[in-house]
Amino acid sequence: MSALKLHGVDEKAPPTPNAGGAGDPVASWLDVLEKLLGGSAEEVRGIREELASHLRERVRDLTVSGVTEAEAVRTAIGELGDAAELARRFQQAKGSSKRRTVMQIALASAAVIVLGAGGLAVRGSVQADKAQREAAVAREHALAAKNEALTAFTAAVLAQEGVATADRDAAVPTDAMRPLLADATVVQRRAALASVLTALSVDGAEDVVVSCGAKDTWQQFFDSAARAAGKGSHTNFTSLDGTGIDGTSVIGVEISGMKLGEAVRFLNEGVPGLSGDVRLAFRASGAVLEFASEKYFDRREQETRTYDLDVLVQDLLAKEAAHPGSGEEKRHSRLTAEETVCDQVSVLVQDMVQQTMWAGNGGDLGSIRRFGSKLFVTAPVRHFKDIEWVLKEVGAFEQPRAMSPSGGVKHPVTVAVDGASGRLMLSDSGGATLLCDSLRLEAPEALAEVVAGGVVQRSLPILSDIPLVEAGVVRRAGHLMADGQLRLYDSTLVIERAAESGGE
Amino acid sequence: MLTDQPKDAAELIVLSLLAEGQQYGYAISKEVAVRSGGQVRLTPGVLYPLLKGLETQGLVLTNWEEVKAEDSEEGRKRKWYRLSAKGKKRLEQRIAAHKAFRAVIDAFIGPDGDAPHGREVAR
Repeated sequence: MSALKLHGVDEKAPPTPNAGGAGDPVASWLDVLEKLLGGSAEEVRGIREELASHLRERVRDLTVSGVTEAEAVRTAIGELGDAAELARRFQQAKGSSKRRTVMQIALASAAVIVLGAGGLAVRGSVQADKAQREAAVAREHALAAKNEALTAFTAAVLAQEGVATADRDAAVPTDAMRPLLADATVVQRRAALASVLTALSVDGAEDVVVSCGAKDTWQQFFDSAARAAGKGSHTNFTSLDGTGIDGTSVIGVEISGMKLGEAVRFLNEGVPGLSGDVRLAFRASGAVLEFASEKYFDRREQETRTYDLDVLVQDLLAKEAAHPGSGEEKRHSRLTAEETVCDQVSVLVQDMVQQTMWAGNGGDLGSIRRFGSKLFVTAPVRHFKDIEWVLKEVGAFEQPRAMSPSGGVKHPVTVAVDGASGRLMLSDSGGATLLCDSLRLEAPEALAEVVAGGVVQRSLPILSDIPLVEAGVVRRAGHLMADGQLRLYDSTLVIERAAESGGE
Repeated sequence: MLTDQPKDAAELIVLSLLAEGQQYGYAISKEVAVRSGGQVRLTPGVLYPLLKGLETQGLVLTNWEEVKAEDSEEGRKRKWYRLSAKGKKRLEQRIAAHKAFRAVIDAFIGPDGDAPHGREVAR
């Protein structure tokens, strides 16, 4: 019988290529892993030490059995597999207990602030101690929120499954819940984080300067771009099927000193396989620069927002009432007015924005559904700018409410300063984190700007109409507002204020 | 729901080992290989994320030990794992689930795997 390997990472996968060649290969490999691992500095250090200890013992055992030291090191590292894959597993493992996502039922209407793009920014000079303390406090809060979220979510799932929750331990995912939870969280977390990234365009990956020779492989190009961005690279080659792009194929064009955004546009125009349906795209997500097809990201970043067209409906009815001469039978009732207005607006949006993506036009990335005077628009997050422009032009735009892809489950994001790097750290309820240097908050009222290091340039005015959702304190955000929570729901940043402090 | 997934098996194996006493990662991987006669290998790429998951869920408790290497002055740290009360409970659930699974399969193949072929049993 052959040996059974339990969910092993591909042992043949070579250590990540960007492991710097010089010096101790074990240390180099651990350096790469460390960069890819998310989480607190302490946690990352713990994982590193544990793996270092494992590697040393493994190398020692192998050498005792007669293998040369160099070979032993290669084998030991090989057994750990690809650093990016391992980092992903650690992330997943941390996620598995939090199985996250909060059922923020009845969120009422919170003030919605759209996140603007942050630029390439300078590392803040933070007083490390203070930042660390604050980060620790923020982490505590994040953890408490996560636990709460877990309990709420699991209770909800259990209730749905008809499982009694006699005992608190029932909150530990059981076998029956596992697939449910896994499905929900992976999809939601990815979508949430991806849209955060899109909304932020953080870390200036767009502007990273890249070069490659005509004889370089795509993998080399992706790796060098990632290195230039100070990240690990990850490419979804499956999504690029049919383009002829794989790890070993040659790029065939020379790029010298071009910004990554331009380079990718250039490649999309110039490389034969890419000019068709499948276009290359990238996202900077935390410590990883991801490459995949545009469609892949679009699908991952789908979002549903609702728009109430009531104003237009009222308008139509009012106009007709003002001109009663046009004949009773032609006048709209409330119901037909809703239908007319929504149909007109849907057709307009589908005509104006990326026609081919809409289900109505045979696409599979976008759809519009109506209920009363409300439109539920599902589309890749990057298209909402255009969609909202159209709505604005017809006078139908109001701040949308975003819904996470799988319905009603929200993704609170807390903001803290990462003790190790001094950069701003966004953590979602699933434990995914994102480092960025600046975070600009925009709202109709144009609100605040936070710069790494906690320098607040402008403070948030109190919005009188912010509903009272839940009291909470995020310490770093506490600089922005006295009481309340900063939460990120997909691409919208929501500030929730406590009743007592926001009531005027 | 009946499952007999390798991932669940890995968790059951690790929890069972820890029920016998505290262990650290490398020792666990060796012990698993030895006891299974080499049939089961928990590669580090599986084992350490699994342990991290157990830790995050509060199923295991951990502590660090300074280890002095005999052949060098540099010390290193070893992370020990032991089962928490919650972990014990989880293990019991897992064992019960595994037994239930085995019982169902045994009903078809017999406890020793030598039952007559399903077709004949069905009559």
